[in-house]
Amino acid sequence: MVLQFFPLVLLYFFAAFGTGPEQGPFSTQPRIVVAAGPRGVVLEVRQLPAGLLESIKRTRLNSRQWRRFFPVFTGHLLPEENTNKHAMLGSYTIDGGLIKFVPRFPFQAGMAYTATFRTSELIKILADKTTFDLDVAPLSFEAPAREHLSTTTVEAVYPSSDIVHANLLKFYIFFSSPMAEGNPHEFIHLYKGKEKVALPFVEVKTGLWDGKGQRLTLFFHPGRLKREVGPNLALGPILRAGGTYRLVVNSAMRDRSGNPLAETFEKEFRVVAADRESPEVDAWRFVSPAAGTRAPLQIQFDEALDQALALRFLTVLDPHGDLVDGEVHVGSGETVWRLAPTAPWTAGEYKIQINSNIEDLAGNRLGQLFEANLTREMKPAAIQPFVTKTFRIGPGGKS
Amino acid sequence: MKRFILFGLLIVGFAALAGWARTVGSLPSPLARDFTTGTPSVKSMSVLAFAPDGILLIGDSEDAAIYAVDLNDRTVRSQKEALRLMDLEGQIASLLGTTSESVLVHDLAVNPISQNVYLSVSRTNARAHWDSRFTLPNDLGDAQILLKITPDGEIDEVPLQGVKYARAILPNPIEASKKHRWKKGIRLRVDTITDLVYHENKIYVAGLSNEEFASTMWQVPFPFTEDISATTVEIFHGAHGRYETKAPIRTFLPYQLNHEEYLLAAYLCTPLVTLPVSKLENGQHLMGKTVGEFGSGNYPLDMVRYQKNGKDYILISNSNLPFMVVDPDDIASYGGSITEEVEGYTAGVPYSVRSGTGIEQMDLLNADYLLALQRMPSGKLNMFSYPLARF
Repeated sequence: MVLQFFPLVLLYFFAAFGTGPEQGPFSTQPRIVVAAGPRGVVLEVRQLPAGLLESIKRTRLNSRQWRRFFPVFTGHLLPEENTNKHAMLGSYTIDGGLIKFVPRFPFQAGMAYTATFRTSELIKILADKTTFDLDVAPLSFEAPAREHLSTTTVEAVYPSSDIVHANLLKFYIFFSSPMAEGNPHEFIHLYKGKEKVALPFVEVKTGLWDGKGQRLTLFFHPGRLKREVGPNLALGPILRAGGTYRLVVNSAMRDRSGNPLAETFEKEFRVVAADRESPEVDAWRFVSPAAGTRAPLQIQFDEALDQALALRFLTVLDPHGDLVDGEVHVGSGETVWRLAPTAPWTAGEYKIQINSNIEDLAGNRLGQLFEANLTREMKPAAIQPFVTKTFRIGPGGKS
Repeated sequence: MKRFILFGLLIVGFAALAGWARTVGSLPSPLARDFTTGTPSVKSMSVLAFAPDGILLIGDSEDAAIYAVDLNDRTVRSQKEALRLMDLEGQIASLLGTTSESVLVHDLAVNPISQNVYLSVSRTNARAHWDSRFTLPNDLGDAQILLKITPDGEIDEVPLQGVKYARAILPNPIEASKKHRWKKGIRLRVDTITDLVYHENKIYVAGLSNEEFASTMWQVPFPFTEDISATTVEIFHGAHGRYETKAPIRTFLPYQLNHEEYLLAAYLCTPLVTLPVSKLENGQHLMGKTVGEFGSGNYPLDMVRYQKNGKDYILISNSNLPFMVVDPDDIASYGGSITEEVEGYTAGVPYSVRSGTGIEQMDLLNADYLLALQRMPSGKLNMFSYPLARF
């Protein structure tokens, strides 16, 4: 994080090539400088007399007035009078002893901008009619190339836990904005220490995206997850128990507007022994809400489940057999499922339908492991499509 | 003494009148009584239109939602003047701190009460690659910036924060991952809403649903209720020589023909169709009547109704053809309908052309002028006002 600002710190020292005297950082002349803000480059007017700042605060300026005396323009030069160039949109605040301008949209990499401070305009606007004798030099600068237009980030990765089984089946990566078409595997890699793990994922050239282009599904190579299958025998498993790995999403990956990510994303995780057990519904704990409330129905799983499938494969039917409408949330490392209903619960018998295709993080389904050992005697248990659990909401309300 | 009192009363009277005249503009609208105050998170401002009382309607294709926003923009402006801005994209770019190549205007709507011009805009480098006459702004990205231009030419952002608004969600919109058949890489979702028009307590919404016959007309009651109706629409496309159900309506207008309510709708490549409103029933499939074929290789972009010498005319702007003027009496008296591939380039209802190509956005500005955004040979986008008398 600090490393990102270092070039901006350098910029602060060397960027200004304005025409005023004493532009160095230790000058006491009021001046406009380029500074680093949390979301990118901002402009500051420093060393203004305290009385002037007080006067400005008392006047309660609107956006148009700010842009009249402290305008920021695109380009190397101040625009001539009566041109079509408008001062940039942005927020103006008095922060400590300085005036700060945060552009409405980030300064664009490599583009030139010019800011100026028009004391005469300010004096006309000030409510208390004070006058100041100030000469602040205009500032021209070029937005540093490291500045990104984009604010798209990786919002979440599932499984969210930083401890996973060696036979983890997939990752879901959620981006804050729709992502561009292209091969995501050019930007997403798995590392063990300094070494890149070779071909850990099934490489679908266009990526496996949801409809919005914001959720990417990465599958670990099933051929390497399944023991005694060719790739596993030849190359071994991808994740080894006891190891520490990093999933890295490179910031060069582009969103649909063509901009790179705001930053590179990393998820570090530890690997423990493989999970070769199906989820066991009978071991789940159900917490019933009270009738007449909209408190959530809560299910605690016996192990972390696949986030997307947990959202989709659990449905609740009311005493009439109708689907209960509401907001579903999976949390606590994908071990807890909650349904907050749209309408308050009524007393009666409810059913929770669990689609047997629901999976844990290793792809084990209800009654069916991801890996089936074909050499052993196969007695496939009759796998029902659904497992149903009933629970009662009493007028007093308890499970 | 008496004269002083009289004079004082006159002053107070005028002041009160002036104050009242100013505040009438900001009286609450009964249509907005159920609105909440907040920050609507609009994913894409795909289409802009106006409901009565200056309430702005925003069609959001990505989220398949309609937003109604009360911006209190009700001060009546009765002057009938022209508005002109040169290099609109350059001017917007200077406001947004970028270059004009990175500014894309998606839609435009004029508030008929105040004559303020609203634009939905995106800041994107996608416009630099806009190399096809068959690409539309919403294909290139999501507009998330709302701008307003006042009659004196001032451009400002309208931040949708702490505003009074309501939202309606369209049922069964086209699924977000479905891809366009021939526009590579474009998802059909960008056309969930292609046009919307308020008419007599309803908002008519043209676009694409997830039905097998995707082209759909929704009717959303306004003020919003859950009672949204959806009708799939099929038409005969003269230039293509076949029935079509997947291409959405591009622009439409409600209009009365022979004392019945219709929607006049135009499609890509360029059929003109009439849809009887009485037959737009929920869950039903409606066959429209194709009354005109105005030429292949072209998008009809906007449609307005205006008066000349006291008579109504319909004006259509196009992506690849000039302005077209249609007399609605000709539509009403057109006995036929196009059900076979047309010979020649056009067929059906007569229309006349007017000069004006590169008209990317258009809306009525006031009773005397049409407002248009027109692409110049220099590549710049200018805002012009055309006198309606010239059409």
